[in-house]
Amino acid sequence: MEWHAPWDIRVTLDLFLGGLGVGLFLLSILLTVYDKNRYHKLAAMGAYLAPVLVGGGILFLVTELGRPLRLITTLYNFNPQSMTSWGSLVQMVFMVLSVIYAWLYFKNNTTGSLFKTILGTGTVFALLVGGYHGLLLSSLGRPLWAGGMVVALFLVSSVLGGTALLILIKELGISFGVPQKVGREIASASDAKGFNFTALFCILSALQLILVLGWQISLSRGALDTTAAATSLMDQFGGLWVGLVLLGGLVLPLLGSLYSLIKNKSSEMPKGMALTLSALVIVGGFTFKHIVLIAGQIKLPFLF
Amino acid sequence: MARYGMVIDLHKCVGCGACGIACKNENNVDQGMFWAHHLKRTTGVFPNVSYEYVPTLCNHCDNAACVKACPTKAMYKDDKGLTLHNPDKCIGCKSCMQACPYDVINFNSKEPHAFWRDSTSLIDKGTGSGQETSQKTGQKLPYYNPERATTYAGIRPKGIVEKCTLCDHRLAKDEQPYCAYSCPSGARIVGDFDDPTSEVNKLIAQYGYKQLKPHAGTKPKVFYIRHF
Amino acid sequence: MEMTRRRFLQASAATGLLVAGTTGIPALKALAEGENTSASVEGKWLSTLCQGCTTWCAMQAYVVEGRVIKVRGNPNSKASHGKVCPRAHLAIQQMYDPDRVKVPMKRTNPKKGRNEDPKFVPITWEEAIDTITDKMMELRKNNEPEKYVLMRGRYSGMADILYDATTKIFGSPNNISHSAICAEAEKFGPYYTEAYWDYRDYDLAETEYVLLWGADPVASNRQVPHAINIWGKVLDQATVVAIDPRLSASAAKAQEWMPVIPGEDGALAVAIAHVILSEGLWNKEFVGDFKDGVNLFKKGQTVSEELFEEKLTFGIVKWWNLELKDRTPEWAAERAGVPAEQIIRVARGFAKAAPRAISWLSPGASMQVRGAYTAMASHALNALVGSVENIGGTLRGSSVPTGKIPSYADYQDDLSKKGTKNKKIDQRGTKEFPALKDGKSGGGVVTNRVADGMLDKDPYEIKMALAYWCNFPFSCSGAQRWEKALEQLPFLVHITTNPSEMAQYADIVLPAAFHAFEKWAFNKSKANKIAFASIQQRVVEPIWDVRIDETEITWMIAESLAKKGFPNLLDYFKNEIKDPESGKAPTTPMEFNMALLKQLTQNVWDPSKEKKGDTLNGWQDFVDKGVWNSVEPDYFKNWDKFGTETKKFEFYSETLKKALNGHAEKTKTNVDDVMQATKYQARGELAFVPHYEEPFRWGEESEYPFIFFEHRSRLNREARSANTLWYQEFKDVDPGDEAWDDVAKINPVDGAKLGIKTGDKIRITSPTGSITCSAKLWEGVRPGTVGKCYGQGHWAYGKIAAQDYNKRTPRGGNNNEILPSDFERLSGSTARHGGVTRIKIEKA
Repeated sequence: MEWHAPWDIRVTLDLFLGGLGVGLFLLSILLTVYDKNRYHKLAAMGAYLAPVLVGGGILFLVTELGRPLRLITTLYNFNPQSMTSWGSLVQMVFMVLSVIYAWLYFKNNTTGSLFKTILGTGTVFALLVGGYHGLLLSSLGRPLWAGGMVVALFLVSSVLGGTALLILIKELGISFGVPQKVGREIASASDAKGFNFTALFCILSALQLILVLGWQISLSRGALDTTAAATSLMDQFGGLWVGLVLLGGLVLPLLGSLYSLIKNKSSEMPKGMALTLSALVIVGGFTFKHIVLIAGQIKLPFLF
Repeated sequence: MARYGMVIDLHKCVGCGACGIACKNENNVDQGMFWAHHLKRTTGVFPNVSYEYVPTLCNHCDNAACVKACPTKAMYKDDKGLTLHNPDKCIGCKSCMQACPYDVINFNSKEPHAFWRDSTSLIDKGTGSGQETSQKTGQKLPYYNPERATTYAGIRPKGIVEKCTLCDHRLAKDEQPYCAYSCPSGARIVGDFDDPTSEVNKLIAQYGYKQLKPHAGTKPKVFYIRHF
Repeated sequence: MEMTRRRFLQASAATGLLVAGTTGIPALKALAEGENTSASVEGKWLSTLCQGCTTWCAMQAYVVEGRVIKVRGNPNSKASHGKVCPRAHLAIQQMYDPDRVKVPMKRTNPKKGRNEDPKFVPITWEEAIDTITDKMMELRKNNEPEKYVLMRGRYSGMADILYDATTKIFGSPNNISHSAICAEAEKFGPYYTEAYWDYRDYDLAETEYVLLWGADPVASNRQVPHAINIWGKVLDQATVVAIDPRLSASAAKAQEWMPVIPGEDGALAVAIAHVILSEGLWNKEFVGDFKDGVNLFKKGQTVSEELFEEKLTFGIVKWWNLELKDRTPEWAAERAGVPAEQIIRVARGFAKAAPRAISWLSPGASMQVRGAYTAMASHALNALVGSVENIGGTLRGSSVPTGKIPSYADYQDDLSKKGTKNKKIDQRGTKEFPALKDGKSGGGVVTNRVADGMLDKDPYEIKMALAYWCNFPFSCSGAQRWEKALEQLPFLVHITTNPSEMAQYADIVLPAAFHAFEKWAFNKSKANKIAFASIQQRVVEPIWDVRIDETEITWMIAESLAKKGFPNLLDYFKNEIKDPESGKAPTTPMEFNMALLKQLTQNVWDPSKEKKGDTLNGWQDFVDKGVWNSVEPDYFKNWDKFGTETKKFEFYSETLKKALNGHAEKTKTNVDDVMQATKYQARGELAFVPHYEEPFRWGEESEYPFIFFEHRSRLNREARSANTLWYQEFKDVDPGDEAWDDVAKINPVDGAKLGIKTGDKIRITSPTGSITCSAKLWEGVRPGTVGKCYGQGHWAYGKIAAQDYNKRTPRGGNNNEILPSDFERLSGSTARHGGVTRIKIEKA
């Protein structure tokens, strides 16, 4: 009979949207710290979208549960050995922190001690959530997910995705819920040295590309069941993997951003390129997470 | 404390599948799910061919990955060393299924036993239907075994996982698990590995043993002796 | 489902207590998850009998609140070690099959055919029986009662009341049993060597060598629970050799697999005999020896008969001279596709284990067009090593002292006496169909010939058939002929549990009680050196309006016939069948059933009757224990008095010579002509010794490149279990097979040539038919051959068995639609094995 993965696309959506949210959140904090006044608008966008994305992901995840109404029991039936338990906890805490963070931005209250506390704790929990995605998978011991590399892969993918999303927002000039005067402030500060999005984009793409290739090499040299899992990934999803994950999602963005940096190391990519490559990164990131999730669940024949 | 587990004598096993069928019968397991099943392998090239059949079930691991993965402690180890599942705590997240190296945990994605709610009859008023049969017997499953319900949900509802309990309800009455009871070859022997005098300990001492995926670190308690 | 208050309280008490006790969950929550959980109600194990195959194991059903929950082997049964095989469990889903026929039905569409909806409508039992007896009376009125035929498939120990008495009192000779589609050619072997027309028992506990001729004891044929239970011990102490074109379940566990080319089994059998004789390895105690002790059996050389002094056998030198002297392992290797070294190794091992060596016959190696002599040859190997009725060898069974139905001769009127003298519709005893059961020309049935007889109206037209517990358009090879024959048949009554293929052609369908749990009956069988009788008990009240086929329905017919002016049958029943305890004559269908059952089994349960075996304390004790066990048979019992013409074990069969001559005389010809007519190659004296015959195959190799062979499933309940979920879910326990599918097993080499992969839909075509199924590339079959399990391919029967019942779409394809109808004519058997047909394969 036909085989269905226990975890379907709804789990991918949680990992993907959650990752984007965490990435955005981290970028927003980074911009806040870098130059709060100049990037107020972008940082606010990140602050608003982060809880929406993470929360949206959690909603998808909850519908994947057989008994969604029992979600809350993960708190009082907490199993310290279970990464799922920890995930449930850190995601809930992060949701609270990121909503407060967004609220403070909305109220333009970005100077108080509460805001600073949130900056600190938010960063920690964002990293925990981003790290949790990979940790969850690797804790389950399935051959494709085993070992720690999946943690780094998912975290970097998330931050890269968040960066790409922020570039999209920036280039498309999307903004809402931001006081009028903030927009003017940014314009007036334009001659100071700006945050280089392209450089971050380039570095993260390179890092992720190295991680993915390194991961694949380590898989191919792994134990029997690991290599079998890697082989079945390429058998079933080889085209998508090479096309969307590697070429579209990492190599092109890396080369494009690098080209732009070589031409002028302090300027950003041209708008068209920035939009295209960012979109590719986001699509590639989704494809990457989905393939890893589904391929990791393929049942491999085994006997002693 | 005790550490209950099973020895499967592959030399005696003829691969008939009675264990798997009997298990579904005893535990009211729905179509498409298997608490006890099998792995098969044909190797070699004609005419030098060998066929192997390995019956499988929950390994009731000492270091159970499902128990570790469960976010709500719905999977737990009991005082007999069994790996059991509490349907009331289960949130249906399937982490246990992902963590189990042996693919022996099943998820109820639908209301179980739909086959017996189907009201179509092949010949109108001439032949029965699943629904009519279950109504006539007064049960959701005509051969529903109420004894299963003494320690676990008699039929596990939609939204949660389910798995082998080594027939804890039968062990509680000093009866063998039904798969072992129904094995016509006597290949399945159940006992306490903490008891040095138990039959299971004697058998693995006499013959040596294999375990499925020992490298997974789960310390499985189904020991296979001899060869198919 | 509504939960009664009482049950609710029980449930909360039981689940609450235990769950709270072990995990600390409040009782109410547990109940909420438990949903359907009524409390643990103590059930009862009730004895009955499984007829999922011909082993007929005594088993017990666990009954709770009027429902069968589960089954187990009857612990009182010595023959089965108190075990059952996987088949028995499927019986539960068979009884609770949602597609059971639940009421009598009549056809309202007069047109018959596979694609004609019969438009069945429910009717009362009265109307159904009335319609049937109207037709029966019409035949009698027209002085043609012989145009009635009774078709019997599986049956109980009470069958003769319907099969024999009812048919003969009514006036027809045509009581047709299924036996010849089952295993009659196999029984031919022991009969024409040691005058034993039956299955043998085997002394597995003591054996040291087992040659399986197509037999697959751990899966089917026969004594399955006994074989499974003892197989570990057998493998410890004995060498097991599986001679089978397929890596069968038993071959998978055997030390040696001889993957014989289908139909070439005979070559191996005579070559093994050649090795045993030429190397001087025969058992001198049983066979005797050369007078001067020097072995003169030398390859290619004849031997003078006077030089050999035979002991318990007859014709060893004739056999050597006529057949064996040239049958070298090298010669056999070329034909059978098995290396000569392996043949020699097996022959030596088998002989050296003597007499603890078993040559185990099965339908696989005998139900072939030219299989009768293979059955003889493989059985004769037992005599060469002296294992006949010897320790660790092949055995007969003890007797079970059940009774026979009383004589009905006095109840036959002139019309029925005249009617029963007619020739039978199966053409038995004609030149082409000797059917030499028990040495008599026409002594056995030629089941599958009935379709031809009906189609050709030869010897006359059949106007009415009463068929029970059978499904000939599915279970007989050349199945399409049956469909045609039944289309033409004016009136068919089918007694069945399911809307089977045969039921689609019925005018009246009667719902049958399911044998294992809804019938009161008995049967007898043997295994593990124990012969036994087992009760079959109605352990639960049937949920549908069913009747017991052989008795209740028969009584109702008899009553109706009496009302219409033919009281003989009812008189016979009332006068001759009495409850042995009360002495009362029956007045209702069920009283009749019980009186007959008690009467036929009285010797078994009545402690005052002398017998060799258990002593039971009366009827109720028999019902409770469920089984009566015989003593073990004596070894060597017939050594000095084999029932053959020579009183010896015959290598040269004077018994067969007499039977063949008798048949030739009766049909006014000679034995050579009979050989010709029955498709055998032997001429002259060769016809009287076990010998090699080239396999007969339908189809030219150029057009049909593959040899097709079929085999049995360890889950088949004689093709009646395919409508159960467990059958489909566990179909992959047959080596090479897949769950929920019907696969043709093809060697990967051939798959590559054909461009076919596992899972591809393929069409298999033989000279007589075509089916579609899935391909399975598997190393367990020889290149050039294709193996496929029997049992799937139902186009009716139920919504699981058929892919789409309403559209008549089968799940896979029925082998019997590509197997041509051919026969092992000497026994009358259907020749479904031995690669009887070639096939071609295309992607579908």
